[in-house]
Amino acid sequence: MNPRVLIAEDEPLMRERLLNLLAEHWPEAEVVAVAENGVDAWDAYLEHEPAVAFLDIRMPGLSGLEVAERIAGRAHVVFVTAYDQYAVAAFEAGAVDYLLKPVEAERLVRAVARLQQKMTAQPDDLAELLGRLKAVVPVPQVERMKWIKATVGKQIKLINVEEVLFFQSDTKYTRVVLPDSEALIRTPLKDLLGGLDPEQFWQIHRGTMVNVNAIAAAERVDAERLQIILKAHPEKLIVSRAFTHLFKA
Amino acid sequence: MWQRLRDANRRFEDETIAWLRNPPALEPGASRLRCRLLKSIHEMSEFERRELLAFLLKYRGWNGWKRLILPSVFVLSIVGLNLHFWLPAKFSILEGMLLCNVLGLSFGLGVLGAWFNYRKIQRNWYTSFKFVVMATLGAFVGASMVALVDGRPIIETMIRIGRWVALAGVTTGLLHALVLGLIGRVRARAFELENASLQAAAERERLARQLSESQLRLLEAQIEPHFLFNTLGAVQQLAEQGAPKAAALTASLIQFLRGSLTQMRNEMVSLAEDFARVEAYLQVMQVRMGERLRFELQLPAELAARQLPSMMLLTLVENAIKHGIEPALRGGRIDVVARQEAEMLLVEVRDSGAGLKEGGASGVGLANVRERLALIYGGEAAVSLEENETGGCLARLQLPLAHKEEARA
Repeated sequence: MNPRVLIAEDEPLMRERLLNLLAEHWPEAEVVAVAENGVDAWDAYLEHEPAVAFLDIRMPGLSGLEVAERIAGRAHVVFVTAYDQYAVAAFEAGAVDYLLKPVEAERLVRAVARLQQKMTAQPDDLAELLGRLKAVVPVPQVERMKWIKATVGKQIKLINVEEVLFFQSDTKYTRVVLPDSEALIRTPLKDLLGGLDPEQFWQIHRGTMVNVNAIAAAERVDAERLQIILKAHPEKLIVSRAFTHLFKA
Repeated sequence: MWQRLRDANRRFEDETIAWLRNPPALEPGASRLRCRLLKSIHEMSEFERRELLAFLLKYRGWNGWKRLILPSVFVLSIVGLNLHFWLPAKFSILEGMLLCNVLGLSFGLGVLGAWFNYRKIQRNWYTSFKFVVMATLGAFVGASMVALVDGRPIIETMIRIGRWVALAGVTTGLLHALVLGLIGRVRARAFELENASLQAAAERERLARQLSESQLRLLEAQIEPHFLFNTLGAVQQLAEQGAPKAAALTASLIQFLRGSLTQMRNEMVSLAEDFARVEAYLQVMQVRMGERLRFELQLPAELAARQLPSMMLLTLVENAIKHGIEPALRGGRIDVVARQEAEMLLVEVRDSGAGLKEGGASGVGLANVRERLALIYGGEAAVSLEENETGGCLARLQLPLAHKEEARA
C-alpha cells in the first residue's frame, strides 16, 4: 500500500515546492490532503488518517506543534520550519526529522529515506520533543474566545463559552448547544478549535467538541466507538476511534 | 656536588620561567622562598612578567655566565688591578680585585633589582632613605672592623675619622639611591607608555566591535534572516516553475533591500521613499502569502516630501503582518495611510487581522520606535496602538509638522 501523506504549510509557494519535491523524490507517496493552516491540517488528519504528516511549525489556527500534539504518535511527523537556532538544537537532540525552509531536495531525500525505513514501525512518541520545542519556539498564541455571537431570528445573542455544553458540525454551520437552548453559527467547527481551551473543550469526533464539565459518563457502543452521556442534556455524543484514548481508564 | 648544584639551579630557573609564563595559585605548605617568589610574581603586571621572562630566557644557564657575569668580573678585575697599581701601599692585587668585584657585582645586582622592581622604588620613598642609612651604618661598621683589626681603640678612631666615614656612607647611599631612583623613574615611564598604548589599542578594538555589532543588530532588525530565506525560497520555486512572477518578486525584493540600506545610513527619510519601500515589502509578502494578504497604500502628493524618522513605518507594517495577518486563519488586509491633521502628520497602519493581544503593545519593535521618537522630537511625537473597529489593529505615528525643517537640518 502506498504511504498516505498530509502536507500542511501556510505559504502557497512553499507548499508547491514541497509537493513538487515529494512527487519527484517519493513518487509512491500519495498526498491525500494539503492544508494551508493548522485547523485544516488537523481536520484533514481526522478525515484521512494519513501515515505521514509534513507540518509547518508556524501556521495560523493551530501551530504545527499543536497539530502534532493532537496526532499524538498516530502518524510519522516531519516538521518544516524556518531556521531557528533553538528549534534546530531541540530537533538535533531528538530522533524526529525536520526540514528547513526553503526545503532542499537533498535534505528531503534523506528524510524520505528515513521515513521509508520507519514506515512499518510505530510512529515516535513526540511528547518530550514537543515539550522542548514549545519552550523555545515562539508560536503566536491564538487568543481564547470568551463569547460567541449567534444570530437568532433578529437578535444577536452573546453566549458565554463556559456555558456551552457542546459544539457540533451541521453541514455549513455549527450547532452551539446550551442546557436550555441552542443556536447556529456560521463559523465551521474546525475554526473554533484554536480559540477554545483544549483543557475545557475536548474534541471527541471530527465534528464534535464537548465541554468536559458537562460529561456525565462514557459508554461503549461497539469495538471502536464510545458514546458520551451528558449531565444536563438528553443527547448522546459519539466518540470516534481517533479520540477513544481520551477515555481510557 | 657541583653537578647537583647546577641541577638545582637549572630546576629553579625552569620553575621560575614556567611560573612567569603561567602563574599558578599559591600552594600551602611550599617553602618560604617559593612562597615569596610566587607572591612577587603574582604582584607583577602582565608587562613586567613578560619583560622578566624575556630577560631570563635570554640569560638562562650558561648564557648568563658567558654574557653577563664573566664579562663583568673581567672588567671589574681590571679595575681592581688598576687600583693596586695606583695605590700599591693600600691594596694588594687580591684585595683590589676582590674589593672591585664585590662592590661592582653588588651594585649590578642592585641595578637589576631596581630594573625589575621599579614600582616598589617608585611607591616607597623610604626605600631610598634606607639606602642612605644602610650605607652609613655599613661605613661605620667597616671602619670599626678595620680599627679592631689594626688594634686601635674604636672610640678614638671614630672621633678622629668619624665625620669622613659618615660623609662617605651618606654619599655612597645617596649615589645608590639616586642611580636606582633614576632607573626606577625611567622604567616606570616606559611601563606607563607601554601600558597606555596597550589600553588605547584595547579601547579602539572595543569601540570598533561595538559599532559593527550595533550596525549588525540594526541590519538584522531590518532584514530578518527568516524574511530573506523564505523570500528566496519563493523566488526559487517561481523560477523552477518558469513563472514570470519570479522576476517581479525579485524586483520587489531588490527595491526593498536597496531602500533598507539607504535608510540604515540616514536618520530621516521622505514619506515617498518610505512608502515605496513599504510597498515593495508588502508586494514581496503578498507573493509569499497569496490570497491571505491584501493591501493598499495612500500617500497624498502634498505630503510626499515630508520627512519622518527612517525605519519606523516598516516596523509597524511588519508588526501588522506578524501579529495581525499571519496568525489570522483567513488572512486579512493592511491599509497604510498618511494624512495631515491640524499641525500633525499622521501615518496609520491598519490591519484586519487577529487583533490586539494582552502585552502586544510592549514589543521590542514598538519600544524602539517610541524611544527614537522621544530622542528626535522630545514629547512632541507619539506612537500608539489600539484595536480598530473591525477587530484588527491600528498603529499610528503622530509627528509634528513644524519640526520637519529642524530635523532635516
